[in-house]
Amino acid sequence: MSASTVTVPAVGAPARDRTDRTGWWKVVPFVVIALVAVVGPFLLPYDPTRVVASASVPPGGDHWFGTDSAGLDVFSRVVAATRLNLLIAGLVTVLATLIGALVGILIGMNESRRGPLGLAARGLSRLVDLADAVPAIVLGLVVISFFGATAPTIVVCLAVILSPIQIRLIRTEVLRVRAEAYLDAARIAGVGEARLTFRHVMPNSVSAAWENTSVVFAVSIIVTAALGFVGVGMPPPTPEWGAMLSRGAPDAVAGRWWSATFPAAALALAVGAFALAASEVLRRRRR
Amino acid sequence: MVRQRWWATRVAMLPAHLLVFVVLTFILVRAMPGDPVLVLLGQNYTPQAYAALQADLGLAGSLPEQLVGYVVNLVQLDLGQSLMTGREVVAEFAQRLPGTLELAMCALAISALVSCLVAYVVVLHPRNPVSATVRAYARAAGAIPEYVLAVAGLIVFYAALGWAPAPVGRLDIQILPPPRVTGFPLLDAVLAGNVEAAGSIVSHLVLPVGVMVLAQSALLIKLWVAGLEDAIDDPVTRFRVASGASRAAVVLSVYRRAAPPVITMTGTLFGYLVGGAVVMEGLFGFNGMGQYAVDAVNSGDFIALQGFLLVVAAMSLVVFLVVDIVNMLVDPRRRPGVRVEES
Amino acid sequence: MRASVTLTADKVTKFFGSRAHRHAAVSEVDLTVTDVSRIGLVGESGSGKSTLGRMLVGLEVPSEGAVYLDGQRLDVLLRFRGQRAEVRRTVQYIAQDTTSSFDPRRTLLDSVMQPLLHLFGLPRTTARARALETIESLGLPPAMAERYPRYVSGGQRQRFAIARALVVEPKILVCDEVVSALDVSVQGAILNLLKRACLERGAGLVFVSHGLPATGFVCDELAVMHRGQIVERGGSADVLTDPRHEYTRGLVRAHETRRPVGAGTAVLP
Repeated sequence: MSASTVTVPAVGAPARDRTDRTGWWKVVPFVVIALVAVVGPFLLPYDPTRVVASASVPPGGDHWFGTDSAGLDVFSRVVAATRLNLLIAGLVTVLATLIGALVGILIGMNESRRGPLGLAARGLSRLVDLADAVPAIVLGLVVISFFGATAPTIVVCLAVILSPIQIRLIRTEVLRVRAEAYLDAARIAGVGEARLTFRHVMPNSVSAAWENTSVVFAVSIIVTAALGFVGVGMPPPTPEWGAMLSRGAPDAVAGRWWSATFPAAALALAVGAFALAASEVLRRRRR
Repeated sequence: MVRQRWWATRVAMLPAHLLVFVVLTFILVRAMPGDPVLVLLGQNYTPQAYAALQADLGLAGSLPEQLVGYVVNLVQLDLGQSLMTGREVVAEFAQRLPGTLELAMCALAISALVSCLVAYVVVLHPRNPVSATVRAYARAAGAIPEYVLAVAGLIVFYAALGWAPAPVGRLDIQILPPPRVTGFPLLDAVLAGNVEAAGSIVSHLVLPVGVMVLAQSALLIKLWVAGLEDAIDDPVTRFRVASGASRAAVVLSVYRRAAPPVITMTGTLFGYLVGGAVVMEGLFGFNGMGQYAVDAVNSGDFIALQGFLLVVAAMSLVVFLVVDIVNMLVDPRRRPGVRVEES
Repeated sequence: MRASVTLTADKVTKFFGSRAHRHAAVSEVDLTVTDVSRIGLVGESGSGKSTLGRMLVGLEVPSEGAVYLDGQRLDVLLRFRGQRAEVRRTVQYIAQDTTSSFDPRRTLLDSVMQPLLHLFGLPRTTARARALETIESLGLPPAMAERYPRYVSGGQRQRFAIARALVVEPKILVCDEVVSALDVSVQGAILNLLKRACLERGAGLVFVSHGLPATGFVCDELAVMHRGQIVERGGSADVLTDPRHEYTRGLVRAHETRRPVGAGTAVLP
């Protein structure tokens, strides 16, 4: 018995099967898109923010995805936008999860307490529910137009607006963990409440929110592009999928399909590829 | 008795929740970088003009005074005057809100109906190839946003096939709009008995409503399928079947037990659909709330925007109230509240 | 033997529920335990015995009355960092739940070392050695300590829980239903271990359980709890053979119909 115990892997999560080779291809599309985001901007055939040809050239040899109604190269812009859109979505996801962890733990640890702290936690919890009731795109539209559409404001505003999803998840988990006997055991072992919260409660309650990051990522890509689509995003001619899509829409209605189709496809691909990769990564983690 | 008291408290909470948003928008506007008065006045202004405009915008005096003035105005349904048009924001919304609401409500109703039916097929005929497709699609719920689908739909059904009408409004240009009664375009046309207008409005709604249903109903389908499968496996169902209930009664019972999470999600979905409508209105040339908000953003009209946020928030809160109450009716066990530890 | 440590519950009452609908889980209970006494708290579920046990170690604060450790109020002592450590070094607790009594993200050894690090401020290497020593003394293979809690059985986990409580060499050990969740075959072994450990180390024991014979085997004294109050107390043998309170009689009879009272002794090696 004692000989076999040494081989038990040193992780809290179930053992990862390193020999499992099925399903690895599911990660490939996202890796390719991420690669495009990283190196793409260095390999562009044209400057994505300048007029490089006559307007509305159909896709062909010189312009793979054609040019839009202003004469900008669609291919260069779609590739250049990948970095911005993925970067914003990624940062929003990370920040929203961080906010979620902090606020969720704060609420979860204090909401059933008596006195002002408990009252504040319950109030905050209600506030989060209320903020979540308003469509994210509406909140984003108003808040970002108030504070100015720069990349940092967009990231911070969207992270705050989307954080209720993560806050609720983590709060629920904290409530579960709070009932676990190992917290009492740690208290008896002399661990203080602050340390208890960060060393025992937090690590055991963030996994659900971590698994949910794929959803938050998809939502933040979609909302970022939606903001660009209605014209609240980064100012033109910054290459951004949503803005390209809305500028291409009148062209598309007139039958020049390319300037809207390619950014739309890029957007759908990015969301789909990330969901696929995330499901595979989580499947491996879970077993 | 207890249940009725709960209704009352839940309804009484609504103004309190609204007040939260009022305070929130109030703070947001005051947290805006820069002095909006200066922005509006430009380079040359007199102190009198500054003071007058400041008072006009409700930005004069101490913060508590401002808040009280703001709330007093809101209670009288005064959202201020739009900076871009000078018109009363409330009047503007009264004209535009019904159209947006109609779009979202149509999409909501059809999503609810479609998800109910599709879930029935998926759960009760799992071997059907349609079921497999729907399951795969439901798993990818929300992956493609409605505005992307809308652009694709316009390319295919308008530009290529010519089936959909031109996206330049709710009505063909040569048709006179029906007299305004309720403000809801389709409803007004039906009330006026104007078949031609109603038909035209419906044909203009098909594509936007269609893409919204396609983009969002997957959420409901997913919940229905999971809920129905659980409810069917429940001993309660077996008891019903064993006691000789009719198939319809059994199905109804299964649906009723699977409903609460779906109803809750319907409330969330309404928010998504309003958001979707706001984003898509410009694309289809609908002159609704979304278009107004976008115009307000482009002209820096923060008065109109704060009104817009409040109105959408109020709408969402009312929908969540309805959702809570419907859930209470379907499942009386649902009671809110945090347990307070005695210590 | 003279007691060097006394833990006293003085008219403790504990309410649960909201202010409007509260009920007393424990009401006005007096109890004194020392480092030389081994007291069993028995009663059916809901009788308040677990709550009383948790109040004795300060995991719950009494709504009325107070718990005193050597004459000082426990809840006051626990408020101060230094005194809190002293209280924990003196009184230890083992929880009922074997499945969740260890943090799933830490090895069992980490958890057993934890009290040494926090209560004694020992360096990691020393703490590790002491923890392994205690683990071995309880008949567990040291290599098993490197495992995560979900990879050992319930009985093994409960031994590690005992190890975690014993590493600090407490004067009083409060055990809450430590064998109830285990197989009958494992229960005896754990009870033996616990009794021997307390005798060897000179620690007092508060043994909370609904199993009358098992409690009688481990403890010298029994206190029978019913609806939040101690309805009878006395020497184990007396209570088991000649119960005075009606409720205790029912409890003893209930066990007799299942197995003879003397069955508790069957677990002796």
